[in-house]
Amino acid sequence: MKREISYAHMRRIAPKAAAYVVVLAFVIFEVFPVYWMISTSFKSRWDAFRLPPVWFFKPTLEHYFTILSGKGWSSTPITPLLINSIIVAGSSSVLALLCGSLGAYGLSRFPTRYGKHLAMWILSTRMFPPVAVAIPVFLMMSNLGLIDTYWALIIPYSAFNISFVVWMMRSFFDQIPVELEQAAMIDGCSRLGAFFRIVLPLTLPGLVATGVFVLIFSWNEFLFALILTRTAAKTAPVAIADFVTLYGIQWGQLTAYATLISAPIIILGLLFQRYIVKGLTLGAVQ
Amino acid sequence: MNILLNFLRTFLCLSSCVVGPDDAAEPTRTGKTKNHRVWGKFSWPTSFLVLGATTLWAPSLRAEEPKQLNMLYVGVESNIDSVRDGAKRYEEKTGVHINIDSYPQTEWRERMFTEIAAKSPHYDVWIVDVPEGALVANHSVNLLDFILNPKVVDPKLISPETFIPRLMVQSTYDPKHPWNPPMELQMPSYTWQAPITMETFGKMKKDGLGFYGIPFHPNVLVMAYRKDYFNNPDYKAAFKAKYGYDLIPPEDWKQFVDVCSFFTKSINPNSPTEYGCTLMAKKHESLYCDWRTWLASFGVFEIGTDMVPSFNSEKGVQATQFYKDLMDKYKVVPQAAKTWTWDEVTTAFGSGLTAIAMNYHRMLLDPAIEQKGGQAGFAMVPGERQADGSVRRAPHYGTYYLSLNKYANHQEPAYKFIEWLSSPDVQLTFAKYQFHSSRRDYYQDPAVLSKWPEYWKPFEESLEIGNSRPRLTVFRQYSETIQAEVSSALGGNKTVKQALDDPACEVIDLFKQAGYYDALHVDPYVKQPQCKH
Amino acid sequence: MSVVTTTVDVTRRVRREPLEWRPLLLSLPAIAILLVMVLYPTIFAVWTALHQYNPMLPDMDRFIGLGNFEHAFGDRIFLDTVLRTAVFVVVAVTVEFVLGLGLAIVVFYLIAHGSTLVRLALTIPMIMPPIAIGLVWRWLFDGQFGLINYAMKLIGLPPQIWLGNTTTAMGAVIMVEVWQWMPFVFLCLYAGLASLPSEPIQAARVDGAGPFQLLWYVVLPMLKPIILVVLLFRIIDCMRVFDIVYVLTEGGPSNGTVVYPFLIYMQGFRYFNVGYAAALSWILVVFVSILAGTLIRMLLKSSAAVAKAGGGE
Repeated sequence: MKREISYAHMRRIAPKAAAYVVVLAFVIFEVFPVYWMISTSFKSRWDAFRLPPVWFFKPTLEHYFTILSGKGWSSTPITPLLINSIIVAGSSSVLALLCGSLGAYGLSRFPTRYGKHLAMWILSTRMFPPVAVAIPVFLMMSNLGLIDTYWALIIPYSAFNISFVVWMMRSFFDQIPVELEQAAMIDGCSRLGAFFRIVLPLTLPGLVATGVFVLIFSWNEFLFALILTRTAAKTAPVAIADFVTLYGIQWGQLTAYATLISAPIIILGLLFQRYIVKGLTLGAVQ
Repeated sequence: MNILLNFLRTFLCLSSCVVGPDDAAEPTRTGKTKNHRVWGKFSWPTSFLVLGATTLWAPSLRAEEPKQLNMLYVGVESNIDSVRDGAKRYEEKTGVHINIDSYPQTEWRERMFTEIAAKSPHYDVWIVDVPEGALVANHSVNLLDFILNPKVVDPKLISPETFIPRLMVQSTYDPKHPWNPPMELQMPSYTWQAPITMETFGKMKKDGLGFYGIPFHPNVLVMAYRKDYFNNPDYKAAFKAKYGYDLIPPEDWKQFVDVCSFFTKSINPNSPTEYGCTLMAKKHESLYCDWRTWLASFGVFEIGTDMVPSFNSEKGVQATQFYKDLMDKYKVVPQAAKTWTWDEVTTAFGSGLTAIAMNYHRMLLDPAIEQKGGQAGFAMVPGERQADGSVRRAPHYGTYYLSLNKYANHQEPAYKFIEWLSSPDVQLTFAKYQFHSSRRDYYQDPAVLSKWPEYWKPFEESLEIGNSRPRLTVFRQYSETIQAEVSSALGGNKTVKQALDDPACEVIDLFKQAGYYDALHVDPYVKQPQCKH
Repeated sequence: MSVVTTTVDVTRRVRREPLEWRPLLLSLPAIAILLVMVLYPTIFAVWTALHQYNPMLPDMDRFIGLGNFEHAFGDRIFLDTVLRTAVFVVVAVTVEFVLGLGLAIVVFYLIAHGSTLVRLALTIPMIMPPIAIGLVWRWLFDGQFGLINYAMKLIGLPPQIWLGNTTTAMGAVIMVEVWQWMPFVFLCLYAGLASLPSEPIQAARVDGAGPFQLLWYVVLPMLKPIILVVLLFRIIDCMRVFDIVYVLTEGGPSNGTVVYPFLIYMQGFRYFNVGYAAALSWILVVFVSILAGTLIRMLLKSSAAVAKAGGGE
């Protein structure tokens, strides 16, 4: 009797326990290099690569102070770079999400002969490697007088992300039955109104997930930021290479800088987590 | 202030979005107030509209435009701190503001290339490094126009006599074909041998040469060693007992092998360091520079006057084999050095892994090691001992030089700026940044020498005898071809002879495509018949 | 599924009616932005691909027709790179997809507490700037100072020069790519799982389906649209991988980790052979388009079949 109970009990617990162990292993694998990077930013320069590795050390904020006061190995103080990054990444992400979602809605709800071709063309804009496009884009922006302005980066970033937004949101929209909008339209809602008030809220997890990736891409993009800006519109990632110097990689400052410029996105991600949760409860309600 | 307003608006939009979904899900619920329902109906579109308007408005906030002269510079590779300091003082002196954009080496290269591709007039002053020299020469101003103009030049500032002579040739090109083998073989000797005077510039002009930049911040390979170990009486006695001569920083390659073996734990269990020395043998420009130092010390020129490769001669194979043996046969260099460049070598020496290392700047030791008595000493790199007892050393060197953009509009003021910045007195003031000066008298100045005399002496001596790259319009391809093949040999995938014969043929194809042999009317297959196909 | 049947009806009606312009109108802003970015670069890329063009040596410009393409297909480095990139994409995408899908299913269905934490933790690798991550991994892999070798020494295995040997260097690049982008697959599929309607699953459970049958016959087919998109984007993005190779190995021990985008970078931004780089880019675009088109057609066909079967019930 006792053996039967415990066996059944184990049968229920075992997969769950195994699941937790496996997930934990992957989380450690994913997080460890980031942990190492952040902890290095608090170590003194030579502690960074001491072997055996220094697990417990006296933390120092010297690298952060150096960077924030603008005296570090970087050629530019960090604050204007961060502001530029926020403006460029924020604007281009919103632009891409807006335009892309609209387009995705159209492609999802109104199937046409050219729909497939339009979608494929949009996808094809992503296939050209940025390295090959950098020179003509610079020439174009130079002729338009846009070099070293925010628009020089916002347009390429939006264009780059639109393909992703369109395809992702289209698949999320495909999952929402048309009946919901039709019900809202019977109640007197316009088509666009139904889009904003019914469909978009329901696909919030998808929108947030897409938005997060779009933002991350625009935030960390390096090549175009390097080529298309000089002083005024330079964004944060460009300066990170400053820490790989002839005198050795300045690990303390490099990791501190990387942590500083990743912090805004992490905070934003934390803020937006609740939207995915909200979306989940809504999905359960219906 | 504007930015704050933006964020406030964006935050308000987002919070209105929070209100949105609940209303949307229950559009027909009774019991809601009229106002609430109206707001709920419009909340989503309003939020999006405001957000959209904000995002379209934000980018119109332009940052300030830079004024006056614009300069594109590298970073610490050529001492950006000195230049910033100098630019500030120049502004105080003349009122001309210098706007400096600084990037690490690779990024600087990409930026400069993009600007030149667009023939952009934005940057007035450039810094140029020797590998890019041949390509940039035709986009730079020939400074002879200003130097030979008595109304513009200030001979006391340009002061040619104080330059380390062989740095001058690095920015001297024949505009008709801006590519040369190593300077000793082609450029007239007055361009790289003392005395350099104002007449030299006149001679350059007469010979149709162009002078495209003022040398500024050279780098040369210098050997660093653990002075505390070399002064240690126990080690000195043990070394003498084993090898029969005094323990000194090695002067020739045989001594180099001996000393490094003595300091390698696997060979000498009493060694304080795990390895004697290290190299920078990653498939990288650093490997190419190492390799050519070894080759030149064996007396081998990579390319002849006729632009035909000569690095696969018997002595060339010997030199490369010796380089490889240091890692694989004598084992005095860690295997990991095959993935190291300038940066890791600094770490290897600084952390006490090796007793000797070679690099292009003054390397520092971990403060923890210095506390225990660690000391870094510097000497010229070893070379091949000749029959008459002298040593042929040929440390690789290169220099940056200050250049003017041909497409820019303020050429004369830009020239005055670089003339001032590179003048002997101004360079002296950069000593506190450990600046590498292109002027001889810098290294004799007592104030400079008082700081790091043990480094500056071997540094300057090395510069005087250094050996520099061939200057090619296809330099990158050339260097990377050799890097790939030598790296193959180091990895054991090819014999050394094969790893030098193959690139010889590839280089001939490369130069043929670049038009060198047509311009010189030379048949490369006479000297390298096996490459004919 | 009701959605698909509606689609089919509308399409039949559309053939007899005037062209449906609403998708075009709704896509207008997106198309406008894309055109601005695509038009001039495409013309430029076509023009330079047919020329020998080096901006630094403008005197050597000449029209050579398909010369760049001929050179590519006769170049040993090019052919090696193509093969290497194909291997890289297949291995990397397969690994990160299997891991991502598996993790998403496990976390969604089996982990009750802490799923938010897991999602947060897995987002972090993607947020870090690629250069910093690449440098950290390069240091972890270092032959002398690296933590991986240190750990191996502790266990008793011989340390390797990971980035010094072509095979292991390629493995290292794949591992870092998987490390960085498996969370992407995980998050997208997790969001997909979260958006699935619960009735079909409940119904199947009531019918007595076991967990694996549930997965294979109910959940995965419903997830097909998102799986398709994620796969598509991962393949396309893996074919454009650059940052990792650049920072970790810079082309690797003797050109052993040069992948296609890196070759384009080498030719275009190191050697300044802009014409040749443009030709290489075109070859890549054509190839990826064919691949993407085939993939989409394949998976659309199978999802339509499944939908028909589902809709029939």
